[in-house]
Amino acid sequence: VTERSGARDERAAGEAGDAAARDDDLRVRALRAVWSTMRDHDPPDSGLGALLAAARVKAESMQPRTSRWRRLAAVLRRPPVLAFATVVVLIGGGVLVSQRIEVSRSPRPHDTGPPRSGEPVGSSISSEGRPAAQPAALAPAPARPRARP
Amino acid sequence: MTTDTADEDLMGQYQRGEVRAFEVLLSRHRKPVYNFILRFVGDRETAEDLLQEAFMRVIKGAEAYKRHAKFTTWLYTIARNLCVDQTRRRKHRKHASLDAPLDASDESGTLLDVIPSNEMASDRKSVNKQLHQTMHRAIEALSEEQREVFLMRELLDMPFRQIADVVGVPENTVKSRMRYALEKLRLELDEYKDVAKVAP
Repeated sequence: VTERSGARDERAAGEAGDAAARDDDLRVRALRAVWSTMRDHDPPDSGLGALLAAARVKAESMQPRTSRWRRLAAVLRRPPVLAFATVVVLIGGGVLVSQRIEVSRSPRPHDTGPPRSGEPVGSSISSEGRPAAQPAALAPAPARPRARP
Repeated sequence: MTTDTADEDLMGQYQRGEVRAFEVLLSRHRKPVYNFILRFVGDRETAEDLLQEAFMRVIKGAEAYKRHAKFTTWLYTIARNLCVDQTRRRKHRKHASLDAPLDASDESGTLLDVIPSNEMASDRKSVNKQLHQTMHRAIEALSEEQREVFLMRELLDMPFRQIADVVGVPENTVKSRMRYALEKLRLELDEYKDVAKVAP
């Protein structure tokens, strides 16, 4: 019985509340007119600095913690770092390739046999840019006086 | 982050450490919260302290905020609880208020009436001022439960459902409290009803 009467009371209160929600009564409108003419006050700025400082401290403490590797990866992913890394890789690659070419052109130490046909003797260039010294075996023999018959 | 960003999204950003999001929230809600508190407690100095305390609690409890809850519901629950605590504390050590009657009898007038005023009561401005003072007094005379509902509904334009969430009572109870509050205010302002009808 108590529950039912409680529910009835609540329903009655609800109906009364609905009437309040409509409140198209002239006197309520007049009340609202007075209320709307009462101006809002601006809060003072005195405590604002302290609030913002506290907010900043809290924001720092709430920032998600990342591992050292992740932070490093994030730094590496930044555009200037990426551009620099690209330039370094390109220059390094260029230097390596040019060195390989020079090494492949220079004579190998075991390459002492007679030159193949068609290959000019003494045409090899040393790494310093000077003509390489010819090996003794390839040097032309000194001219001997011809024996008379 | 734009000015249209929802409060809940801003709070989420603040939870990720973006202090700018909190600044937007503060600029958006500082004034309405202050006016709510001011009209609840009726004292400027106390309202300033409570405003500060309310936002400090928002900062401290930022991590605990859950995104599914409406930010304003959470914020005004904090502000309302502070106001309720304050008025309960004040009941224990009552000061002489400028608006309080000098004697227990209703006819005694208030301190505001005793303070000499240079303004002529006849002009419109003065009538409006009187009307506002009467309104203030009438709001202060409301019970705590009726006052908070009236302020949230009329000052903050909150839906009854949200007020019910803030106050922690069923929606129908909120509607009923609102009705009684309006009845009381109507009675208090009855002598001004003709002026009020033409109020700008």
